[in-house]
This record gives sequence, structure tokens and C-alpha cells, in this order.
Amino acid sequence: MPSFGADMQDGTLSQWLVSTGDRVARNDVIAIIETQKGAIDLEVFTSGIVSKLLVAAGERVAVGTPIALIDDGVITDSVATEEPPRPAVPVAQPIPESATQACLTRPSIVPPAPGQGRVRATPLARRLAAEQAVDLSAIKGSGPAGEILARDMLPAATAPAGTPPMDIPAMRHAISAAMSRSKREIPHYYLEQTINLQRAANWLAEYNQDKAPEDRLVLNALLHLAVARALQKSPELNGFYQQGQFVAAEEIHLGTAIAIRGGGLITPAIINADQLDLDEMMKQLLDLSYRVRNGGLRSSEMSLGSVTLSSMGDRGAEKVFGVIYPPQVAIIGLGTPELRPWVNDGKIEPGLLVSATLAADHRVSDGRQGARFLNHLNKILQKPERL
Amino acid sequence: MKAQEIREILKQELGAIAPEVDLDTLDGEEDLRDEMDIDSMDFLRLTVALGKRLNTQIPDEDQGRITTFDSLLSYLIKRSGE
Repeated sequence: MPSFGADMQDGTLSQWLVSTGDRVARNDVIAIIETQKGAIDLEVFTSGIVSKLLVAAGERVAVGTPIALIDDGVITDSVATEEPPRPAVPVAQPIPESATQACLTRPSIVPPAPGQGRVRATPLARRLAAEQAVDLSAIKGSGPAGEILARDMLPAATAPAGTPPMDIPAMRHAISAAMSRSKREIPHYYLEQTINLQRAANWLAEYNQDKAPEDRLVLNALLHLAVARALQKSPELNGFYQQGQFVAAEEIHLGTAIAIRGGGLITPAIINADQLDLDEMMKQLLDLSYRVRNGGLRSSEMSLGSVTLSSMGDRGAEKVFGVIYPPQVAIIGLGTPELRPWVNDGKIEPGLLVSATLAADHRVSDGRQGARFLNHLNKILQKPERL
Repeated sequence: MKAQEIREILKQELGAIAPEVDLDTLDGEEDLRDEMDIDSMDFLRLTVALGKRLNTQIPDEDQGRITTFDSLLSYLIKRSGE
């Protein structure tokens, strides 16, 4: 059972998508794991043949417990001829260092392929199915893409109204553990800069004017891309503090905080966020917000985030000062943009202003470096056409 | 298309985006996004879905005018009658 984040202690194997004897390739989704953060698609870290499933569907096991054996064929012929059956490699080692490392160093940038034999169901529907010992593949889903919804699992009368689609108490516990550790161990420092988004907003309105709804961009996509690009020049904010030292991440996997209706929060990563263009960023955000609700988040997205962005969107508070998600070393906060007076060339004019904040780990960077990041972000946002 | 049909389609699409919200208790005059706790991505998805179902396109500049369930419904009825 791999870890999908510093705060994960165990997971329930909710569904196997492979059987003994199946050939799997690295990054294939082989199982669905139910965690405090909902149902996550487990990607396999190696290629080979599934030789044994060690954990049955419905079983809850601790992080580090082997869940399956995969024969990856890494045995020389001379050895193989002398030894009886080939030893198989556990999917997750009891000491998960190597498995976790393999996961961490091999990000999946393959977009999820829908309908690959996987039963689409919301996390709540999965939970209900597990409780009722119902085989999900036998249920016909009533969701827009045929996915199984909670209501398909229960007669309407007994369906718990307004039940959040995830295990909220467990999620609260996980957030509590990670955030307590952060505030205990990480000496945060905080900076704030007000950024005028008027140019970006004007540019966006013009861009969207003649577009069909599905091709439109929202301001948040532009902000996400600007943050990712600005991080290119601030490697001291992008990486991990582990075993008493900082290791810069080679790529920018931007965790994005997505609130869950009914409480809770999830921060899946946008893989190689700075390499995307605006349309791709928009698609990623749409896709992520859909999958947070409906299941299908991938294990790589849950474990690879190298820095986090908490953006309030257009319905939040004016400012947000984040708490760093360990072992990351920075979190960027963007408040809700508001139309406010702005002084330009000695004149007061209206401007769409946003508060951009940085909470960073003082063991790794200092205020001056942090300020440089915020200034750079401002510069990028003044030239939206270059994004 | 009849107003009642459009109302049903709107409820179906809202239900697809936020299945856990009880649409019968929704206050039609309150801000829809606050009532349903849906974000700008959800709302864009709703716009796309409604456009497809009703064979119409909701222009970007109209988004600000359709903030409540009631105003969205009458907007859609008017638009599909055009």
C-alpha cells in the first residue's frame, strides 16, 4: 500500500482492476484505493505480470503492506534456470523506500483514459457498495457519463440526504495531522503583495468574447499558470525538506487546493504545470475539479506535489495565508480579486486587485527570495498575452 | 420547448454537478453558486452542458446576469424561445 501523502496511514483496497496473470505496464491503473481523500486510482510503478494479489477487495491495510506481487522478469537466465519459480516483486515493499522512490521519480503525465474497463462510480457510491457487499460492475450508473452515483446504490427513501461524498471525519483527521506537524516543525514566514489583474482580466474578456463555453478560460487558470511559471526562477520554493535538508524538485508539480462540499480539502498536483499552455491548464483544472468530485484521481497526482497554490477563486475571502503541506517548503495564496482604487501615473483608477501571499519555510529561503518570487509573479501577470 | 421541460433539464444538469444537493430545498432567489457551493469550474461545466442540451450558447458576458436558479431558468426559457 503506497502512501499518497505524508498524512496517509492506511488505505482500503476498494477494487482490483487486474487479475492474476494480467500483464501490466508502468503507470497503468491497477486498483482503486479508498483513502481519507476519497477514491484514488493506483498506478503501478513497474511493468510485468501480476503473479498474486495479496489483499482482497474491501480490506483495509497500513501503508507499506504489500498488496500484490508482480513478476517483472528481472532475473538473469543463468539464475533463472537454477532457481525454481522466479521471485516476484511486491507492489509496495514493507519498507516502502524503494517503491515510494520509484513512484516519486516516475511521474505519470499520461492523461487518464476513461472507460478502460474501470467501473466509474462516485466515492460515496463505492463506500455504499462496500458496505452492502454489492459488486459495482453489476450496477447500471445513472450519472452523466454512466458513472454510478450514490442514488443508484440505495432506495431514494433511505439515501442519506446531503451526505458528503467522502469520509469527512477521516479527512479532517488527516488534515489535522499534516497541519499540526507543519505548524510544529516548519518556521513559516509570510509575505504579501497586491497585484493589479486589470490587464489580465481585460485580455481574458477579449479572449473569451467569441469563444464557445467549452473553449473559454477562467481567471483562475491564468493565475495557476502564472504561479507555475514564476516558480521556475525560485527553486528554493519548489521541493521537499526531508531528513534535515532541502532537496529542490526538478519539476514543478503544482498542488492546487480544491475545497470539498461539506468540508475538507484535497490538493492534487498539476504535473509539470509550468510546461502547459493556457488551454491545457484550463483543461487540467476542469478535469481535476471533476475528478475530485467523481473519483478517478491518480496516485501520482496525490503524491507528487512539490509546492501548493491555494486560490480562493471568485467567492472567497480577500486574503489567504496558507499553512505549508509538509514536506513541501512553500504555499502561495491568492485571495478573491476585487475591484478597488489603484494609483497609476498619479491618477486614481479602478483596478481588479488580488492579494498574493507566500508562506515559506525559513529553513530553506528568506524574505528577500520570497519577495523576488512575488515580484516576478506580478510581472508575468502584467503580460498575460505571453502566457 | 416548454418551460417545464427546461426546468427539468436545468435540475438534471445541476444534479449531475452536485448530486448531494437537495434541489427541492433550493431557494430560487438566492445566489445559485452560494446555495449549491459550486465553484467557477462547476459553473462553466454547467454552462457547457446546458448549451448542449438546449442547443443554445450562453455568451460569456451573460454569465453575470444568471446568478440565481430563477434568473437562470427564465434566461434559458427566453433564449430557447428565440
